[in-house]
Amino acid sequence: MSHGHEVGTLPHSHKKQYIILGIVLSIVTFIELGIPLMKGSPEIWTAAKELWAPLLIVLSIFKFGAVVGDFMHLRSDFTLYKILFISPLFLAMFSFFAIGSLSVVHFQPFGKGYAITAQDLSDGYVPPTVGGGAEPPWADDKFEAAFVDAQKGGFAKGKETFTTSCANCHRADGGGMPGLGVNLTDVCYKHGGKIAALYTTISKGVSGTAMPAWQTSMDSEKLRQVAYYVHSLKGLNVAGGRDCEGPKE
Amino acid sequence: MASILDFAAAQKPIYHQERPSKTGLLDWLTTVDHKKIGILYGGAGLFWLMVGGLEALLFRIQLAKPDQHIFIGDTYNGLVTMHATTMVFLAVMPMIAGFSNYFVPLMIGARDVAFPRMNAFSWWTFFAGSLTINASLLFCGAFPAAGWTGYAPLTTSEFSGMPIDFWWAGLTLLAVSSMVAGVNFVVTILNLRAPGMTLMRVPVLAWMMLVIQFLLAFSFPPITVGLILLAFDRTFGTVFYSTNMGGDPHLWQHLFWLFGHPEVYVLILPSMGIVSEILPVFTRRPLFGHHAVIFSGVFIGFVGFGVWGHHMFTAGMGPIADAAFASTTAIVAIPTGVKIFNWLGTLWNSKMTFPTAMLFAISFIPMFTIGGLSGMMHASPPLDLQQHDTYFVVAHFHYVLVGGALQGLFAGFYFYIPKISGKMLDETLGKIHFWVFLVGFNVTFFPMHLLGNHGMPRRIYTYPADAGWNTENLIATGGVFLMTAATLVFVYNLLTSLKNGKDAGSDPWDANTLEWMTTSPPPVHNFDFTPIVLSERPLWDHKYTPGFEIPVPEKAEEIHMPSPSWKPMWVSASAGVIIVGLLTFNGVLGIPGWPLCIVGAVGVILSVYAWVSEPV
Amino acid sequence: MSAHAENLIHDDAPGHEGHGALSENNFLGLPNIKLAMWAFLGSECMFFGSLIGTYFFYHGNSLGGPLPKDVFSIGITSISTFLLLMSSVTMALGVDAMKQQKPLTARTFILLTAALGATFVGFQVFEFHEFYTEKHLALSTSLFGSTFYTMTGFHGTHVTVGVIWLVIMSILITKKKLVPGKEAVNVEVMGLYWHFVDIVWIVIFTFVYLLEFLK
Repeated sequence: MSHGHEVGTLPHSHKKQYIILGIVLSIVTFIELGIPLMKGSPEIWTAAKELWAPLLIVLSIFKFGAVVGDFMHLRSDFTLYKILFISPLFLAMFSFFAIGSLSVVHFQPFGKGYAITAQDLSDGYVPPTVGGGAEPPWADDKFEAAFVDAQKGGFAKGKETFTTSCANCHRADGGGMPGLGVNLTDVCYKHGGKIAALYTTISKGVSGTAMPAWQTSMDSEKLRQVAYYVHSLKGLNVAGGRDCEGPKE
Repeated sequence: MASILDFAAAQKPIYHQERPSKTGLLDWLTTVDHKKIGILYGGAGLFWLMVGGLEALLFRIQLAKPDQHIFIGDTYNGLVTMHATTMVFLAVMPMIAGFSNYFVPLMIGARDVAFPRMNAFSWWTFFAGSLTINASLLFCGAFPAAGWTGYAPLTTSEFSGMPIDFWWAGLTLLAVSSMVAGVNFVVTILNLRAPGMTLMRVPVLAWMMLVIQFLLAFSFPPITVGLILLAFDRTFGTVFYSTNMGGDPHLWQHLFWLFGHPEVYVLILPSMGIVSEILPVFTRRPLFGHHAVIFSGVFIGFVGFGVWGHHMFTAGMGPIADAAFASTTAIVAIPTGVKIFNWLGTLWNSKMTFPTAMLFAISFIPMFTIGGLSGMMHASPPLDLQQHDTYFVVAHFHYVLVGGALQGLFAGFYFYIPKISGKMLDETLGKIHFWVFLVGFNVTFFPMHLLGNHGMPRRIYTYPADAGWNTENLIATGGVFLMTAATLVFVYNLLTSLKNGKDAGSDPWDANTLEWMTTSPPPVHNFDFTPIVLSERPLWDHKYTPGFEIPVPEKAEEIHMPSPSWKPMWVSASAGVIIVGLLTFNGVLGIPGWPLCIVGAVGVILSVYAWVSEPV
Repeated sequence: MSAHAENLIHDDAPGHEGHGALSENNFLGLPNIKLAMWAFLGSECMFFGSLIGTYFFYHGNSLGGPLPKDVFSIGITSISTFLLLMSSVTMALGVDAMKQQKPLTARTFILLTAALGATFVGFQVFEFHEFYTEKHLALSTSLFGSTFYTMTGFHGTHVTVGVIWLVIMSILITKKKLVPGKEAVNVEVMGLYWHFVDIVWIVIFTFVYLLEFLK
């Protein structure tokens, strides 16, 4: 159970190994830095678009493993050290991945997130002020594709959910009810009429009103479908609906 | 049965110490001896137990009758918050730390813990933390009043005043203390075992202590981070918990309960260990399913990290998360059931004797089981939605923590104090203590099940007369007086025994673990010679199994004991100064904060330098 | 049975790599301090897990700008990342030299490591200053500001603590208070801490910075 070196002799030196590993790690780091720079050449960039993020993650796992395994020589050290370190490491990864996926807004560490794109700016997106509550600019590709799908299907899925969950307050035709749901068929939106804003309002609810946070009972797909459906109601102006509330869009 | 424990032939060890131990008060300030630190922890725990009990007494008086206005609003909330904070962090945890400090090295045949000065650092940091939390009464005239769970954003500066600053500051110190102690004891139990003491020969109590040290080391960081974020919100204007900046109230709950649930097992596992040590001694037979008890404890500790969400069923995590946490929570019943089964198996058909320690240990089993069963009800989200925040939950966790953890610790006190003081506790007083406590406890908390089912919410300071809660509340308050009386009997018993108690001798109970082979109280170096462990029950085998005698070496051992040191206290004090600096960063209380932080940081660096260059 | 006991006594000859001068059992033959460091690093995993977890819990929840992409600059961060990575190499070489009983070489490497670490902290201070003054990102600006500064700030604090530790260690070596062969484990343990701080940065660099640039 001991390193096996006799008293008086020195342990084997790993100097060369450390230097080589240092060089390898530097090269890996340069590769990592090179990946975002690939954006410069759009052909390569788009050719392997789905690969870059996993590649970065794999490279960082490699670096992580190299430093822990060789510099900290856990690889050839006693099992107990491995247990002491690796079990809480996995515990942390498991716990915080769970917590992250329970985050109210959908967990997107690797996805599109809310980063502002040139498209958003040309659409007239103004970076929000502190506490302003402006809508986040969504431009998720999946979002767009799903929208087209939903459109082809006549928003049937969203309509179904709307009928069971939303019609109680917003009326079956979306015209709204006094004191409960607003009119969804006009062009006025208190909390924004773009799909992303509708999505946020539906999922988070509106505090202080009867509008609940539907994310507790609907998954994101359902929420999206309802948002598309509500978006499709814009401008129908059904008879007997509530008056216009909020800014016109 | 006569106990045959004679190690008189053993030579006294030759003793080296860099600096001699001090005497009197200075000794207690500079000690690095695990036994003295254990006594300090235990004493502090008992003191805060009385304080926490007094707080409970006060708010139970308020609740005794409907429409009373003795302690209302934030005064009431403060009492409730501090009752829970005190009992969890300042009473039960230090008592556990006391047992683990005093007995773990003795049980595993070690001379001290792995890092004696770190141990002293843990104690002084705990001490600073306990004073800091309660200092809000002195500086603000009020207790923190946001509940012991301190749910942010309720605890942010928008909704809570200065006392919360003392709360996070104190808790941060306690978290550092526990984390350091956890690492220290993990190493102690793993590496400082006597020769021959394989893991399966480690006594159950030491095993449970090993499990909770892992829980302490790995579960305190999340709450530390949660508290730091809270501190930053309150001091530097960050927006972690600020809902109007997009902050999510779930964050604190996740961080808190990711710590909070393992913490619950930190409170209960040592008592399970104590019971598992006591039952064999007074049934005169080995613990039934000894290994199963150990592994189920390990499993409880392991699962403890995956169940935090069951505190948040009403927080809106969504059905998938609720279902996942409900199933992991239900799994906890399995190892717990294994333990209960094994304790019953130990008792079954045995020739028992009933000293007070045994009475407490036996009554632990049904009382804890009642609490465990109501706990299983909460594992079901639909039931939990009904019971959440009602007195049913209060009844549940008091059955677990008072009927379970505290009774286990009382059993431990009656069993182990003879080893600490060398004097037996009085059995008559002990039995009065036991019966009055058991009756008082049930009278207090059983009606709370009914109150909860009748819809009485937690954390309300009064209730209308026609709510139908009058009788149960009055009965519960009566029970608190019984528990108070019982605890006073215990303290009286403890104090008088130090003077008038019967001499205990080294092995009063004819027990089976290593701590009983040394004198009571043990010498500074614990054992005159390092015992060699040949079986799971070394002392019984030494006494009753020929061929398993613990060998006494012919030569006197040379031992080097750690020297007393001021440095742990310096580092704790400097860390305390940093925390006070953060607490008053914005110049409240008229103390400029940031210079204090700098002074504290420099203090930490200098005292750590002094620490490392000091010969041990 | 006494023969069995004898064996146990002799088997107990511990592989002391010097864990202080106390006469203690050493059941596993492993140095206490190294066990403690690994357990502590396990605890640190949970600590940084909480901080990084909080960052991602709130990722994309900021109500206002500037957003990560507006403030991050790949140039400065990659230089400081590279420096920290190289400091891990020098640290490993320092530990190696200490094990080879070459305290003076070890001290050189340790001081070099400290210098690289200090430069990293310097870059971080510069980065924070730039974010604050040029990009108008303060702690209180948004969830991004709060989570980003707190997470990287605590990492920077750990680096700072490491630098102080390295400096103290080199003073101890200079004063010959550290026995080169016997107490090499103290340097090794410091190395473990230092490498851990490096791997935390590897995680933060990839998941917080680089993946942001992909978008």
